[in-house]
Amino acid sequence: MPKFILLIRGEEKWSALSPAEMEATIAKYRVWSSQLREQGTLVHAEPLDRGGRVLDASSGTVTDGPFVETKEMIGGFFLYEAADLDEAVRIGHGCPALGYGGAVEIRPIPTY
Amino acid sequence: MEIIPFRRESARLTAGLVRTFGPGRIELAEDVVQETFLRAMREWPLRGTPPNPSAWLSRVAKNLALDHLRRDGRLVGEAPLEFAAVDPEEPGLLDDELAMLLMCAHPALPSESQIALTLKSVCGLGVREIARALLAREEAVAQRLVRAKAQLRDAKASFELPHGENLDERLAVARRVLYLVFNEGYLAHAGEDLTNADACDEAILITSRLAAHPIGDRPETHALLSLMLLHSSRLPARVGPDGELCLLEDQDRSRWDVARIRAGFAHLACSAEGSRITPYHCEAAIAACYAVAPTFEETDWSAALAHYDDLIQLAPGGVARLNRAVTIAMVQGPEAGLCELRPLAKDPKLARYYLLPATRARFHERLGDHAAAEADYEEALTLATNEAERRFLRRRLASLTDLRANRV
Repeated sequence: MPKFILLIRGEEKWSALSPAEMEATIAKYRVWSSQLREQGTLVHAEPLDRGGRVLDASSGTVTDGPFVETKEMIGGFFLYEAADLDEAVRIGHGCPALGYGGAVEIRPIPTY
Repeated sequence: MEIIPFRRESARLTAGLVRTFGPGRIELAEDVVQETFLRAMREWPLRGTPPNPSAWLSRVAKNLALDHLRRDGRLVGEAPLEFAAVDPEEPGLLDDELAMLLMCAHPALPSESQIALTLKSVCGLGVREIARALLAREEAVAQRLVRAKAQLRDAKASFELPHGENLDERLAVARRVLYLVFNEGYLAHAGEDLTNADACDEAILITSRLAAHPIGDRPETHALLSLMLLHSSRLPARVGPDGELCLLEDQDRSRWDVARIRAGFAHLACSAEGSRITPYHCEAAIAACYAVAPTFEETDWSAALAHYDDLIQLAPGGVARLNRAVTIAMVQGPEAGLCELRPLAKDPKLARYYLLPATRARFHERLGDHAAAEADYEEALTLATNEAERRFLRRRLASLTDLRANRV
C-alpha cells in the first residue's frame, strides 16, 4: 500500500482560539486520528517542536529555527497509507487543522 | 481519565500562575496558559491524550513558567509553583479560583472591567466569547481587559484573601459582579439571535461554586444563586416560535426549566438562614412568586408587590421601581400603574430605558387609550437597543394599527 505524509501548517491562527475552542479542536482531531488508527492506515504521527537549527551549506551558517515564516512552519505530521493520492487527499480533507485556518500538504512517499 | 473542561483548566492554571507571578503579571500568566493549551493541541491528537490530562497541563504550564522565570532571572526566592488539582466530584471553587474571583472584584476596577476580567480569568472565556456574551465588540472587550490588568497593577492588588470586614466587603462586590454578569447575559439573551445564555450559565456556575466553598457559603450567596436559577428557568420560554421576545404573560410555561426552578427553591431555603435580608433575597422571592404560578393570572401579585416594597426599601433603584409599578398595575389596575410611573419619568437613569415608555404604552393599551399607547411605543422604539426589542415593539404597534383599522 502506498504511503503518504500529511504536513500540518498554519497553526499560528490557533493562538486566537479560546480554551473551549481548543478543547473542541482536540476532540475533533481525536475522532479523525482514531478513525485512521482503526482503519489501520496510520503508520506514525508526531508533532514537531518549534525550536531547532538550520544548517545552511551555501552560507556556512547555523541558525535557530523557526526556519521560515510562521505560517509556513510545519507543526506536525501524519504518516499513513492510502490506495492512491486521491484517497490520501480524501482522508486529508477530514483533517481538523483545515477548519481552523490551517493548511495541510499531502505528499506521496515514492517507492522506486 | 476524563478531560476536565478547558475553561475550568484555564481558570485553575491562570489562578495558580497569578499566585506565583503576582497580580501585576496576569498577562504573563495568560500567555503561559495559552501556550500550554497550544501544546496540548499539537500533541494530544497526534500522540493520543495523556493518561492524566489535568496533570499533563499542570506539568507543561509549570515548565513553561519556570522557563520564563529563569529567563527573567527571577527564579530565586519566588513562591514555589504548584497547581491545585481539580476534583470533578468537588463542586466548590478551589482556593486559588476564589482568590482570583475576589481579585477581579477589586475596588480599583470599574464594574465593566470587573465583569470582563471575571469572564476571562474565572470563567475561562476567550475575548470573542466575552464579546458575544456581553453584546460588545471584540476590540472593546480586548481593550477593557488590557485596562483592567493595568489598573490592578497600578493598584498593587494582592492575591491574598482579605480578612474580616475586608473579606465581607470583597465578597459582596464579587457577588455584585456575578449578578451583573448574569444580567448582561439575560439582556444579551434578548439580543440579535436570542439564543445566547452563555453569560447566565457562567454566572450560575461560578456562583454555585462560590456557594459550595466554605468562605462563599453564606445566605446572600444562596439568595443570589436562587434568583439566577429562578429567572433563568424561564429563558427557554422567553423566545417565541418566530425567535421573538416573549413576555411573561405570553410564555409557554411547559418550556420552563423545572430542574432549575427546583434548584432555585433549594437555594432560597438555604438563603433564609441568618437574619439579614438583602436585595438578592427580595429578588429571589419575587422570582419565586412567578415560578410557582401555574398561569400568569394566578400569580400571587400581592405577595410579589410586598417583596418589591422590601426591595426598594433596601435598594431604591429606578428599574426596581419600574417593575414594582408593573406589579401594582396587576394588583390595583393600570391606572394605579400609570400613577407610579409618572415620577419615574424624571429619573435620569431611566431616561434612555425603552421599557419605561413601553410599560406606559402597555398600561394605556389596557385602558383603551390607543393613541397614547402608540405614541409611547414610538418613543420606546427610538430607545430600544437591539433588534429583538425593536421587532417586539413594531409588532405591538402593528396590532394597535390593526385594531384601529378594524374599528373604522
